[in-house]
Amino acid sequence: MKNETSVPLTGHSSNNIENGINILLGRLVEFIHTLRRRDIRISVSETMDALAALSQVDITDLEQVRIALSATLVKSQYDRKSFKDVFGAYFSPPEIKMQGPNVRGEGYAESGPQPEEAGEGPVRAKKESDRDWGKEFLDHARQSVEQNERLAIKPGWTKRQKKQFIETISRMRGESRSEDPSAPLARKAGNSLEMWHEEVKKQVDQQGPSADQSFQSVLKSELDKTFVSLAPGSGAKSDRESLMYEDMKKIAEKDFPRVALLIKKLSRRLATRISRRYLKRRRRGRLDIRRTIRKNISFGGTLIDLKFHSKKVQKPRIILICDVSGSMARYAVFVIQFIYGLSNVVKGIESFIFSEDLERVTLYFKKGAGFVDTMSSLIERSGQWGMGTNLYYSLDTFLEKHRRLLSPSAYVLIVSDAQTIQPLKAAANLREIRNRVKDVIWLNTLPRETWYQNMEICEFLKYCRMFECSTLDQLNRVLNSQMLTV
Amino acid sequence: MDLKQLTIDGLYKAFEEQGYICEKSLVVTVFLALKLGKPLLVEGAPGVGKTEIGKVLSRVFDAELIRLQCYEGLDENKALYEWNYQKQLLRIQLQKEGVGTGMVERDLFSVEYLLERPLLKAINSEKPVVLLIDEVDKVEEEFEAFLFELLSDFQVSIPEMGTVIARQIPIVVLTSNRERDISDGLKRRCVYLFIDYPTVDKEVRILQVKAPEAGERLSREVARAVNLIRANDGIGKKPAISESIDWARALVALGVDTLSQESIKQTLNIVLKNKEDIETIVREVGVKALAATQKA
Repeated sequence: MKNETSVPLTGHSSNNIENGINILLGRLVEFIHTLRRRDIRISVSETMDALAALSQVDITDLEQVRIALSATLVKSQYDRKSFKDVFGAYFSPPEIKMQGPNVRGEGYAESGPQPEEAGEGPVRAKKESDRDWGKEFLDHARQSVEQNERLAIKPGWTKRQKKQFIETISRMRGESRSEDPSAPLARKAGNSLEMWHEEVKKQVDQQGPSADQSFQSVLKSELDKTFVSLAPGSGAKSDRESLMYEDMKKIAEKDFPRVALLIKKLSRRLATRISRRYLKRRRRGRLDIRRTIRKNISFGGTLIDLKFHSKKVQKPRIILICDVSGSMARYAVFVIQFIYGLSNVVKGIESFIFSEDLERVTLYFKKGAGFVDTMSSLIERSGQWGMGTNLYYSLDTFLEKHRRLLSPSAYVLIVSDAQTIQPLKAAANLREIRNRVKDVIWLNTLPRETWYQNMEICEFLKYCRMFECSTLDQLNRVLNSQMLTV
Repeated sequence: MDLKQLTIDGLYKAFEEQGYICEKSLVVTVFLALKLGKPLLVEGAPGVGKTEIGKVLSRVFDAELIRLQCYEGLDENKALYEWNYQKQLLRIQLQKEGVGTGMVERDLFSVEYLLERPLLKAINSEKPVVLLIDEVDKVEEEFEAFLFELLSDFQVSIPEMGTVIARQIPIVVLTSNRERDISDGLKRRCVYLFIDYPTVDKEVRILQVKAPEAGERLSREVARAVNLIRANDGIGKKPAISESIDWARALVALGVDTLSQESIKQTLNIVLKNKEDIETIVREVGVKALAATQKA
């Protein structure tokens, strides 16, 4: 790494510089490991970029170091917060750390809504303290690995959370197995899900423990994601296959991380399936002179094989309407992951949730936050989770407020068990929607054999294409089918 | 400005001279991208000044700006190169007629018959250029993968000719509105910058530069009102900085020197561009609250 030698450490002797560079390298690697433990993906090439960036800035200026590392290591706005916390823990001088987590961020002019710092910026942190930060940095870097890991603990964590974090680090070193460091975040989502949880608790007693576990499991899915791949035998094909055929309400807690990953992959498949680039056209349009000549160059320019223009295909707009009422709570993991997965990967998707009424949730996914934050905020702010089901009223709201979204190229994707009051009126609204869009596709978690004993479903079947969708395999089949014909 | 002699302060000053008001942290990131010879990936909401960075850089370095506007369906033929088939065909016909000297196949696939598109033009340029790949989140993932080779090695492969290596490393700026996630591979090759909506004070400074006729008082009122509008998550499209500028100019054109309920009602359509958003703001924030920003 040639860049190592170019790290300027002014004011130190050559031995000190060499020593300092080694410490810096060790510390940087350690810092990156901590970031990775916080689910920030950093490649080797990005680590090298970070080193090269450090050689280009004034390393005695804390702010410049932060910006250099942030620009090269963290490529998502959502990860910036984690980065800021870890950076503060690793690189802030002790007196700043002692002032608490909020103080650390001050004086850092972000390119966004931060307290205004006109004409200041990176140089300011240095001037403010007027100290030899480089020396402090090196002194600080000499702390033991254990001390540093303890520093990465988030401010405000309880004793239990801190203990769990330390245990996680031990586990990363191959010691005893424990919980993931993102547990507190996941717990936060757990609290948010409480409301839905409480509402359906009554059902749990009747329907067995699976529904109850599902809530806690949503959280665990985030936690264990990192470690699933490390677990011996994880990802075995047979396990994966059995998971594909398991009813999603019966899937064991330990499998939720893999369910989450599979749903994410399937959602991405849907997003890429509707790419319009490689579609074959049946109908012929105008002659495409350019492609025709290109094709016939090999015939000496004689036009033998004619090529035609084809009409450009617009990607269909997808409108996702998900049932989050009490009766769907057993499928909480599926619904939550499906909303999140699809809303994040399909461009231009409009997402709604409904129970007694309908609510637009598209904006929650535009903020680019991660799974736990997005879903926590969605659940906290929405009053729909776990209520009764009134599809009629919900579709009425849709037609009243969002009618403009309905267009001949749009697909409406409904995820629901179709258990609703006022089914006839709901079917009438569904018909109106069907008349205005290309198709209505309904993913029903109830088994197909029960549909025809159910008056509501028979009504809805007149105006939509309904697919049974209670296992991942069924979801896979639906997404692979010609569901979205463009 | 010479890239070798570039300093953070120098770049900051140059940005200001070009009328680009920003924090120094933004300049440090741009500086790093330039010094490391890496593409700069700028993410942020529409209208926060992402594209402008490419334009400002071209002016600062007195370099040609080559812009590739991305859209769904953009492919290599439109972004990289295309053979000039008409010319090739004419050449073949002339050869048949016995005009010209003996031609071999490779002559038909030489630079003479190559039509440069923005990407090839950027790496083939003798002089430094700024390559602006705008709204990269609009292209399909296949095209993103195609960009990898260009952005990591600054070279492209043309099957009939071989590998074309950049004569000089262009300054590359990619922008994204975050309509979808950019792939990790592309992000890995870039230096990352996120631009959020400006603070009130920053927006006042921008307004003073871009619409000086509005004066400080009106600029501050407009900036506060726009800030209040942006804080509402219920609207579909948040106002861009250019719309704040347009609003200030519109108010000046109407002879308004301070925001009032009346003037807001008359001009809210300048800053909010659809009926639902206007209704949402009037209902949830209220014209009165927007007008009250003068007292804040």
